[in-house]
Order: sequence, then C-alpha cells, then structure tokens
Amino acid sequence: MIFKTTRFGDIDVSEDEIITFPNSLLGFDGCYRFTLLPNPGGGPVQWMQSLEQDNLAFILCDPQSVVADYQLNVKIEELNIIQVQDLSEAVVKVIMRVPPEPHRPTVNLMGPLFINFSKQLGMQYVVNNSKWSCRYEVGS
Amino acid sequence: MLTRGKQDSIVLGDQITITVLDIKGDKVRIGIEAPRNMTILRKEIYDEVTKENLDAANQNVNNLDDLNNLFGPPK
Repeated sequence: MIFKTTRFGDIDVSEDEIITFPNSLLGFDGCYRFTLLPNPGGGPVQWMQSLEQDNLAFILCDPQSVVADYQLNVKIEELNIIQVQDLSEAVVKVIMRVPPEPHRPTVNLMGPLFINFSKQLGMQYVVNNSKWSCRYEVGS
Repeated sequence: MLTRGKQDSIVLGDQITITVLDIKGDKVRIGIEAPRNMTILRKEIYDEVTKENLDAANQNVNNLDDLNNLFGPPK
C-alpha cells in the first residue's frame, strides 16, 4: 500500500510492516498505525512514520546504544496490549529528540516504546519512578 | 466534583474504584482498584511524557546521517 509522507514522499508499506499502537502515543490520540523505516546507514536510529498523518514521524533509538544499564521493572501484565507471552518478545525503543545545535540529542527513557514485532503491536510505557529522565542526553 | 472522607470511595464505570485511605496534613493516600492492564500515573509524569512526545514530533531532522555519526560505525 502506498502512504503519503512529508519527509519521505510516497512510501510503499506492506501489511506485515505496519505496527499498530492500540492506545496510540501520549499526546497523539487517534494515531494508531505506524511503520518503522530501515536505516540505510545501519545505526541504532530509525524513523517511525505515522500512516495516518503524513507529517508525523518519530526518531526511534535502541536504548542500549545510549545507556548501558537501562533496566525497567515491567510486569508482563502491563504489556497486555501488545500480547507478549514473555518479556523477551518485546523490543524496547526510545524516542529521540534532536534540538538545534549546539545541543545534543536526547532520548525519552521515561516513556519507552515496547514493540511486539511478531504480532505487529506497540505501546508507550511510562515508567513510574523518577530514575529515568525523559530528556537523557546522548553521550552522557 | 465529589467530597469524600477517610475510607470513602468513588466508583468509575464498573471496573475502577478509588478510595481515600488516609488523610494526613495536606497529603491524601489514595487506593486504586483497576484492571491490571490499565495505566495509572501521577499526572505530572503523564504530562511530562506527553510534552516530550510533542516536542520530539515537531522537529526538523532531514536525515539520519548526523545521528548515525554520533554512535560511530555499526558494531
């Protein structure tokens, strides 16, 4: 299927490349369907494009590339929405914000995304304690 | 708005019960019964993540090359 995007023009997305966020993302009620675009440079970042709003896209990052000890105490029932049988089935990504120079990019460790690729489901999890910042500087 | 005293409760729909467990000075201890998969958060945290999502969505990044360089060559 072809979807229009402002950053990437028309993109062709197959059914199995669509990730549905049944509870959308905080602040983005009504945006449920996204696709992850591959990063040709092979780095730990990639775009996640909305399939409902052509100008909406987030940069996702693998948290282990930024923070070595990113451990969360998540109970599996908190991830019901993405239907994982085991915590190891969930892939964690964090949303990156890129402020203008000279500031460094930051990642949101307080609201990570959990994705179950085999069921094509995603959710934004919010960490309840104050240990993790929502603006953690890359390179800290 | 409802006024509740210690040990009083409020029921929302048929799955959520909020109870005032204790009141000490200006702090209220609140008990919440809700389905296991329902997210319960302090509002300030909810607002912080919402704002951060909005900021992250409204940014002018055209390509990922600069970001790739931050992380060095692929491992």
